[in-house]
Amino acid sequence: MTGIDSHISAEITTEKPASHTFKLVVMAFVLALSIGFALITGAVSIDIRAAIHGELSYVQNEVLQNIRAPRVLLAVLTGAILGIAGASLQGLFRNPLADPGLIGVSSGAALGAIAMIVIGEQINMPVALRPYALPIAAIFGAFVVTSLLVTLASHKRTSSVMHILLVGIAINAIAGVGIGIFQYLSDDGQLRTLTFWMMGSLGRSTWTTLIPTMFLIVFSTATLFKSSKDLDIMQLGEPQAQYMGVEVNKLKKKIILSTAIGVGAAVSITGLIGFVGLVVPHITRLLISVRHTPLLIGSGIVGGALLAASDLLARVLMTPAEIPISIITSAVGAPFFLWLVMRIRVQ
Amino acid sequence: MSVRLENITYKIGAQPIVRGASTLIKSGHLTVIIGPNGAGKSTLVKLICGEITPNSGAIFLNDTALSLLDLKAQARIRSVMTQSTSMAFDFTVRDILELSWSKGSFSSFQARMCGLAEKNEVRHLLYQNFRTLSGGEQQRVLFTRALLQIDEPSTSRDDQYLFLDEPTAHLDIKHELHTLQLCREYTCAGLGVVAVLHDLNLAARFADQIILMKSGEIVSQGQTTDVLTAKHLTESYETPIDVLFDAPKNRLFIYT
Amino acid sequence: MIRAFGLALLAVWQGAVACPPPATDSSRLAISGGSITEIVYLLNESAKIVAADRTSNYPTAATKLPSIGYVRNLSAEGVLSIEPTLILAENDTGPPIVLDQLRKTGVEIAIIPEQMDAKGIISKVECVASVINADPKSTATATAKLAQDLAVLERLKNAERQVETNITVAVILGLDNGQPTVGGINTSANSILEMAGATNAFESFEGWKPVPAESMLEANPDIIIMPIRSVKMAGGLEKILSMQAIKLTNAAMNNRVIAIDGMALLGFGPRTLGVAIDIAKENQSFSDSSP
Repeated sequence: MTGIDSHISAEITTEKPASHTFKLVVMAFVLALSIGFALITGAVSIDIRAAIHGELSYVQNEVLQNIRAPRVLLAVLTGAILGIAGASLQGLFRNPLADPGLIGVSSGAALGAIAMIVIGEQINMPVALRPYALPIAAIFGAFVVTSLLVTLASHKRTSSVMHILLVGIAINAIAGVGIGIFQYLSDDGQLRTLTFWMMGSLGRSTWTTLIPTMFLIVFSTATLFKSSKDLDIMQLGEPQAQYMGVEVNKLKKKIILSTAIGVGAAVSITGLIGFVGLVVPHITRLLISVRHTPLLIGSGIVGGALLAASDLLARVLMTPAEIPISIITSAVGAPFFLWLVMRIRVQ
Repeated sequence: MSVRLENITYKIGAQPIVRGASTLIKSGHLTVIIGPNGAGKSTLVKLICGEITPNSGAIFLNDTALSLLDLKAQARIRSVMTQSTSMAFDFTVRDILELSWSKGSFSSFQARMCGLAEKNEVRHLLYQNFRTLSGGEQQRVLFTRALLQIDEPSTSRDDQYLFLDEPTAHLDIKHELHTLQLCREYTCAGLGVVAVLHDLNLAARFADQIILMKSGEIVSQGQTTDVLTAKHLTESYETPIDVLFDAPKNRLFIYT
Repeated sequence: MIRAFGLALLAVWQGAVACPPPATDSSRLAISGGSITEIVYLLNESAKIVAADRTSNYPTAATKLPSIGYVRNLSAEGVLSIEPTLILAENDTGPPIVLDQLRKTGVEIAIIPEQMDAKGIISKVECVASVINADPKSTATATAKLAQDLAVLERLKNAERQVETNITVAVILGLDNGQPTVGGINTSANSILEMAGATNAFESFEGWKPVPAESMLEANPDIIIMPIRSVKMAGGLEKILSMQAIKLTNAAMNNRVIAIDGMALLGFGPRTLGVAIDIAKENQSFSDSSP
């Protein structure tokens, strides 16, 4: 080798990529703590020592295993996928203000949900399928609306980000019209059911609906993780990413659709929870790293911990009633979002 | 090995941007593309690099049709340096350079990275936020990254190319010369370099081959002395341009 | 039609077409549904209540009870933390998942069937009384009073039928920026109007719908009834009377825009009978005074 490049000695001041790992481990520990607190705290008091020794009453066991555990797990899964999806979309669109709502996931899920709420009573559904009816409709709605967006936004060979965002706005508006129509057709019982669904709650979690949701979220997460390196390269701009071997259009479709599946699955049970997808990636960038591999992992952990903690507050602050979870995520998220916007302006 | 264009035409709607372009770009040579604004220089580069598809004609990278090569295969053969883009997030210079690593030992990549960063005077910026750098510094970083994408050149390897679109736009004279000097060294070691330049004197000084474009066509190509004549330049740039031969420095000097 | 089907389905799901059997232990009651809370107070059994939902705001004492959430959106753990022995619920209590979780922990849930007419109210009271093993004397007193009310109501309705009138009544749930949301057929509003022998001004559509000012004027109700809370939210009676959609109606011009407590009006608890009587009287006095 002629050594044009290597004749300078290379003392590498390593930034220690290992430091990412360390930070992630610390965050994982915080997540574990969060889960722990969430499991032992609640309206019904459960003594830890009694729990460990297996000395809980029937009711306490029931609460711990079939009410709290699936609820906390749902909180962690939902927070995680919202964080990961938010980070992926921000990276894909190279826009710090992107979140799953942009690509129509939330409005699609809401549309599916309300359609099921209003029409569902007239469909002859096998009893076994009934608990899954609403979640399936919501995922289906999210997927359809998002796919529509992907199809409409794909023009010949490339689809510019601006184009996708504009189509997203249009699609969200159309879904909104659909929702409005169903709202109009619904009776007030259905209307109130929808209102509560849309407000977002982790209280609808049961093991039956959670297991399939978990698979979809894990699937979606895995797909998004695999795109980490490509997302890093995308930061240099789409033309440059293509020059470096990234199939940009395929990447867009892949990320948008897996986001739709994962977030759609979570939202189908919880309803709409705001700010998490937007804010968690930024917290993670500040705490851990900008590179997408540690960012996605970190966003999953931070998102899970945050939502589990928020749900804990929701359950405990106004016991025995609950505060809707979106109020808490907004209370934390909105000021943070404002700070974010100010920061961007300064630059 | 070479990059070969055969009668390339590219239109937007009915408007032809590049017409009937045919050329042979050889590895081990520094080819410079010049021409007035709107001549189609950047478009030509985009066509060769696969960003856009020609309406007619064929492009061959090392004798393989471009349409048969997937993006990753192309990325292994040729690297492109584009104008600086605005980063949405706080990536450090090192983060960006590391994007070029795709295979082989990471530690030897790191060694190479530090070496090239040193050569381009950006080593001291490795841990800085790219967004905070000056235009010139950013360009040097992107140039380094593009170099890292291709393998360390050697005289036995002649099948890789580096494309540079206005690589010296924000650079001061010292760095302009430095960049092109580095390109020269690389071509001597076998790399094929294609650069779009505005500065005709830089072209005169560094190019082995020149492609002169106007209104989407290649009006002249070949040896520097053959292409850079007062007649060609005056016609293409539509303004009086003169060319002198500077004997002591053994190069052409272009002035208006 | 659809709503009836839906309610029936819901009832089948919750297994409560008929009144549930008497509870094994009714010493600690958690109540979901304001009308049921009213009934328990009426039966003098309020000492048993340990918690109630947010719609339970009558009598005033009930507002001081710990809250278990909103009738349609209860919190499973919240309810359990109160350690109730029995949950008394209106038929639209939910969400179903929470009810399931509660049943699985062994808590007894009694869903009280709903029937939106006078007899239905009395059955509701009787049903609650039997479920919580209320004192027979208090029960007798309560049902006797309600039976009396029913008699009064019947008399008024008969009187109304004698006189042919074209008096119509509209029930407005809210005024969003001046646009009224009105109860059509198949709503609790329509049911109470039927109970009172009054004619709904809006029989052309189902459910609660927003109605433009023009249609409001077209229908021109002679009496407008609104829940007190909605009046407050719209800015007060004065403000309402000046709104485009309202001010030119017969009701507004004859000063017949009436505010009634929401739960009493539409909750189909004991007070609702009284409200029906009031409406029937209003109806009659109107026809008496008109030429």
